[in-house]
Amino acid sequence: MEIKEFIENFASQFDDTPMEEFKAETQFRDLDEWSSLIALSIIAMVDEEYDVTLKGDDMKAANTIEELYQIVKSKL
Amino acid sequence: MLENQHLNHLSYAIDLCDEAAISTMVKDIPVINGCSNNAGITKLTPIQFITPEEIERIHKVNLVAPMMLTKHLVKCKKLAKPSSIVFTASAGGVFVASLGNAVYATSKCGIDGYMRTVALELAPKGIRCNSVNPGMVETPLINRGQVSAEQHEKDKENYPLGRYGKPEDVAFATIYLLSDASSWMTGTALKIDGGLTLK
Repeated sequence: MEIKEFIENFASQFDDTPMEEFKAETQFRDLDEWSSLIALSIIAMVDEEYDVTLKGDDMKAANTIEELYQIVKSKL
Repeated sequence: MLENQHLNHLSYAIDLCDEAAISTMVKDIPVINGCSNNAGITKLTPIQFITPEEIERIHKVNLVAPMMLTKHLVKCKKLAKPSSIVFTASAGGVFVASLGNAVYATSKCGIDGYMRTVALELAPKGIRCNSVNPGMVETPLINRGQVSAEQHEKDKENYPLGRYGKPEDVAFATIYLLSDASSWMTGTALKIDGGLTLK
């Protein structure tokens, strides 16, 4: 799993946020479009793409996309 | 597990997704006065991630199993006249929509439609059929980690009575619907939701 691909998959859960706003260091909760439904979609995307089950607490523990990537990587 | 032998209770552990096992159990039991269909599973899945496998997994337990159990009870004439069937449906889907809940909601709306049809078909036999429709209840079903404890606490603010349900809140309503205290009720979806759907 590469972080570039993870960022692309993460970004594809959003409709209106420009791709250039999604970087490893992006604090995703600060994005205007962030919502509880997008949080659920990220969990479902990680399940579908990486066969990793994220818990609500895993999402809570991550502030940046890279931190979430590392959590997913640790569960592979 | 019912172990009071003086009351001649029987217990069976079967896979509700196995229709042959349901059929075998139903043939084995005596005529009964009530049936509570309570098994259920869920997983929050936004629409773009729904798969046929996930629909099948959840609907098999939540919808097909109670349909088949009821079918075999009726076919084998194992329901007394009068008797009462209770389905555990949900406020979710039937009375309120929530994010990521589409597969579970469709299974419970299916139960709602089935419950009303069974109520109509079996009324001439004196067999009543109703459902309990709970909001969020403190059971392992809602504590699988998909939603954090913090998010659950926030969600409780949507409940005018200030808390999620307890299993006994639903159990007492089920007992009521099984008992003669509800003998003129059939085809009713009974909301037990701490006021959630008042808003």
